[in-house]
This record gives sequence, C-alpha cells and structure tokens, in this order.
Amino acid sequence: MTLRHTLAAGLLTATFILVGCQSVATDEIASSDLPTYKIGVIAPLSGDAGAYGQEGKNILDYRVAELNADPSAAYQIELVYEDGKCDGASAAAAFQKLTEVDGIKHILGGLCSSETLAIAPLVEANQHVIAVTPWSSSPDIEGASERVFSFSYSDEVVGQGIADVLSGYKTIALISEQNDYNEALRRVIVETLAASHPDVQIVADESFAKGTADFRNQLEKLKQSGAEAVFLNPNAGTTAEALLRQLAEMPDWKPQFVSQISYNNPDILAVAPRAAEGMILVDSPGLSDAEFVAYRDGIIAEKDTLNNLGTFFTASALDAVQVYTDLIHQHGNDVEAIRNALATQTFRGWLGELSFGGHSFVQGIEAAKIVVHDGKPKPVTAE
Amino acid sequence: MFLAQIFLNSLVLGTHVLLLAAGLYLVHTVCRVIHPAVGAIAVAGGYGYYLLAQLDLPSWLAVLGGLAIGVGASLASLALLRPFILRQQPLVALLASLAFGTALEAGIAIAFGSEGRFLASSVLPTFDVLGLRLTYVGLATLVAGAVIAGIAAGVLYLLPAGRILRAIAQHRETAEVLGIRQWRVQLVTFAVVGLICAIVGMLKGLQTAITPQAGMLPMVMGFLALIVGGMHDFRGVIVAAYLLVLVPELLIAIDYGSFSIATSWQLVLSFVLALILLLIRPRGLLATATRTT
Repeated sequence: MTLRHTLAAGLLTATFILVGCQSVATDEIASSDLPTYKIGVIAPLSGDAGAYGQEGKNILDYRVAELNADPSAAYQIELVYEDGKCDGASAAAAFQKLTEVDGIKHILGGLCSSETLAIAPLVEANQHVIAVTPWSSSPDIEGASERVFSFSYSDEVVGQGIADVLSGYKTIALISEQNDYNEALRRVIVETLAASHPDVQIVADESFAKGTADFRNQLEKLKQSGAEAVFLNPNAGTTAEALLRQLAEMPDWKPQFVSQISYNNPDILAVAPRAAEGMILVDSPGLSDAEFVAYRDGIIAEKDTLNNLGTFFTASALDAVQVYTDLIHQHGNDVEAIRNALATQTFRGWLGELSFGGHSFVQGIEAAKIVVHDGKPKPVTAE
Repeated sequence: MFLAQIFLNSLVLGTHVLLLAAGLYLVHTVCRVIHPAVGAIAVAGGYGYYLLAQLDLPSWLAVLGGLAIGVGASLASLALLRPFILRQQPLVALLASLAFGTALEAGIAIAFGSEGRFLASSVLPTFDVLGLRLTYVGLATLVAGAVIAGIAAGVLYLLPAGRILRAIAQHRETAEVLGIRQWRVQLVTFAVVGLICAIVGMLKGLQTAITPQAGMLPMVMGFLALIVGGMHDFRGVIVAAYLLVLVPELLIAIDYGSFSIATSWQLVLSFVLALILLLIRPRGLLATATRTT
C-alpha cells in the first residue's frame, strides 16, 4: 500500500470517527434539551429498614431509567436520594436538605410512616412542595397535609382486618414496637375491637422500645396471660427476626399468632419456619397478573430481590412514579395544579383504577389474609 | 414457675451488666477515670466475631478474633486516655472515652451498616433446668459471669496483684514511691478489660442481635451498678448489677390484677431503685463506714 493510500485510509477513518462522535454529541445535546425534573426521594437507605429502602430505590431507579431511555420521552427525571433512616428526625432533615439546599419541589417518600408523618407538617408549611409516598400506610397520614398523598392502602384497612381475625378469640395479647407505624396499627386494632367486639378481652398489651433485641421476659409474660391469640407487631427487619427466633425457643407455647407485613417475607420466616407455622398475616393484597410478575422479575434480574417490599408495594411504587412524573410534566412546579389533579382525577396503573377522591390515600384497596405454611406466606383464597 | 423463669432470664441480662460494670470498676480502680467506651469495645468484640464467622472460619478462631479485637480496641483507648490519666484530669478523660466510644460505634456502623446482625446462624437450642428453659448461650453467660467475677474478686482481695491494684486506688503517689509501675498495671488492666468486654459483646450478640449502638444501654446500667455498688467495693458492684436488673424485671412480671407495669418502664425502675439505694447506702451497698481525716 502506498503512502497516499495509507493517508487516505487514515483520513477516511478519522472522518467516520468524527462523524460518529458528532452524531453522539448531537444525540446527547438533543436529549439534554429535554426538560429535567428533579424529584427528591426520602427512604431508609441504612438501619433496620435499610433493606426496604434499598429495594424501593431499585424499583424507582429501574423505572426512571426506562422512562428516561424512552426515545419518545418528552422529559427527563433525576432522582435525588436522602436517607430518612425510618425515623422522623432524619426524614425531616432530609426534607430540609432537599427543599432548601437542592431547591426541589417534588418529593417521593417517605417509605416508613414515621418519615412521612414527620415531613407532612413541613410540606404543609411550605406551600411550594408536594409529596407522594408509594409506601407509607399509617392512618395518621390521612389529613396530615393537603399536599401529601399515599399510593398505599391505609393501615386502618389492615388494622380492621387484623381485628376481624382476632375477634374470633375470647382472649388476646399484643406486643408492639414503639414506632409510628406499629403504634397506629395497634390503636386501630384496639379501637375496632372495643367498638365492634367488646367481648374480646385484651389480657396483655406489651410494648418495647425501638432497638430492643431481647424479648424473652415479655414473651413469658404473654404466655403467662393465657391468651388464645397473640398479635405480633414488630417493625420489619432485625426486630421481627429476633422476636421470631425467641418465639422458636418456646415450642410448647402455641397460641394463634397473628401479624402484619413484617412477617410477610420468606427470608425471615425461613429462620424459624416451625414457630411461624400457621401464623395468620393481614397485609396488602398480592398481585399475580402475569404481565406484572414478568415486569417485576425483570427488575429483580437487573437489580436484586424485592422480597421485603413484595408485589403490592412494588406496584404502588411503579404507579406512583408513572402518575407523579406525568403530572409533573403537565404542570411543572405548579404544585397546586398537581395537588388538584391527584385529589380529583382517576388514574390507571398496575393496581388498577386509582383515585384519591379528596383523601390522602388511594381508595378502594382491601387487605388480604395470608397464612404461613412451611415457612412461606400463602394467600387465603376466598371460598 | 413463671417468676422463676423471669428470674433466670434476668440473671443472664444481669450478667451482661455485671461484666461491663467489672470493666468500669477495674479501669476506675487503676486510673481513677470512668471509661464509658467499654460498651463500644464490647460491640467491637462482637462484630469481630461476626466478621470472622462470615468468612466461614471455625468458631474458636472467630472467638479468638473477637477477643483480639476487644483487647486491641481497649489498648487503643488506653493510648488515648493516658495523657489525661497522667495529668489526673478525670473529666477530660471521661470526655475522651466518650469520644472514643462514639467514634468506634460510628466506624462499626460505616463498616457493617446500622441494621442488627445475628451472631448465631440459627435459632438457639435450649435445655431444661428444673422445668425452666435456658439457652446454651445463656448458660455460657452465667458461667462466664461467675468465673470472671470470681477471678476478679479473688485477685482483688486475695492475691498480691489485687493488693497492688487497691494500693494504686488508695494512694497513687505512695504506690509509685513503693515501686509499683503503674504503666504496666494500666496496660494489663486495659487488656483484661478488653477481654471482658469482648466476651460480653460476643455473648450478647449470640443471645440476641448486635447493632453498633448495642453497648450503650448495658454500659449505662454498668455505670449505675458501679455507683450504687460502691466505686471501691467490687462485691457491692456484683450485688448492685444483679439487683438493678432483677428487681425491675420481677416488678414488671408480677400480675397485679387489673394493673400491670409495662416493660418499657424497666429503665425508669432501675434508676428509681438506684436512687433509693444511694439514699440508704450512699457509700456503696456493702461498704463499711471509714474514718475520714
């Protein structure tokens, strides 16, 4: 090959490379022309509930990446995460940082009810911010702020479901963690039983501080009470597992155990399957739609397990992202317009038809009854 | 049977408090400082065991590793506190110890996360003791408490080493004039305290779960036991450690008919009991009156 040919080939190659870079640059320039909306996310990224927060982050990252990569996308979304640590003080600090330092108007979160309850008065005081939580369920969120919406069911529904299960027994005992979510659930159960089933006697009502890991004396007290049914009300994570492990040390004690989402997790149940055998759980309904299951499997394949959040909260997160980002694109930073839309319109998502009807919670979601068998939670199908 | 079971469970809890109180006592005896970092050192020992167990090493090696980390953390705290000990600045030493403990907890949280860890890989097996239930870890805790407290008391009151410690506690300058090398005594004491704390951390982590902040409450209870028991009387510390745990737990367990005391009152009851005991026996539970010049 002559020098001239070599030079020509080199020039051609360089030209192709430059054109390729140019078109890439053009694409990048084109995509960066799209409006970018920042959404602040408050969720526990560390601590006992860190596993839940991490799964929530995985779901949001997956969906937002999909939305951003869509060639027909008319906008881009950027998620800015702050660790709420599943406690009010950290969530409030996270909120201040997102809104006052980062200037963000749109909040996704909290994940834990204690986080959402902590930021609700801050949202109410700050007229230019709106918060949508896919996951928080404490009934105290209802009416906490005009600009806080939850795509979850309210624990009022779960609490009434649990009270319904407990009403089948003459004597019951409760053991609850001192935490916004657990205390609200306990309150709903006690009030529902007092109002609708006054013949049910609460023979023991124990509570323990967050971070407690030794429940042996309290469990002995519950056993001594002779209750026919025991409602286990720890927060999810290490506390729930520690409680189950110590229950397993008392195989001779066999009341009917009833619980909530904390035990709707095969990973925790696998620690002591015999102790959990027959436990009745009342939790969000599961989703078995094939298309949704396949989509969820795609998230799991790319990101990791979603065992902690389960199908319902995965769907609620996806629906919240879709509805919220669409409204943000329609109305930008006009939080009043977004608020009106959420309060009055009906949307469609994995959870079906979604409407708030002027409430803080999505309406019409019922709790599901689940029984633990062989270390696995299995929905009870209606007869 | 119910109260007996509560008593047995509470003995295990009381032993954790006793062992940390023993650590506080030894440091105070030799150095005249309060060393709240013992709680964090215990947690470090527990996480040391956890780390090595996660690497699939044999249990005995994980235990040795936990002990080594406890001793290392304790000796590191001595290095930090020594200037203040030499200058007889107990308040500054207390602050330094708090700072060390906080930094150690923060480091553990960064390395391992702040969620709880279970040192036991599965549900703890239990055995029957006269109709009462006890885990094997609980039994190990009671035995460790008895052995360590027995050895400590024996050394303190029967052996020359104990006389050296008590001499330093009574009059440091005279002890130095008599040729007692305090630096060596401090080194050995902190190493022993590190061992004791690591044992507590591992036993507590095996019995329940361990978090970076798990040492705080037992340390506070241990400090209370030290004050109530008498800062110069180890026998009083042993009695105080068990009293401050057993009495509240039994009061909470008793059925008063329509009235009951919730478990969340346990710490409040411990402090109220401590105040009452201090009012009755201000010099310590088993202390005898001494003439003051």
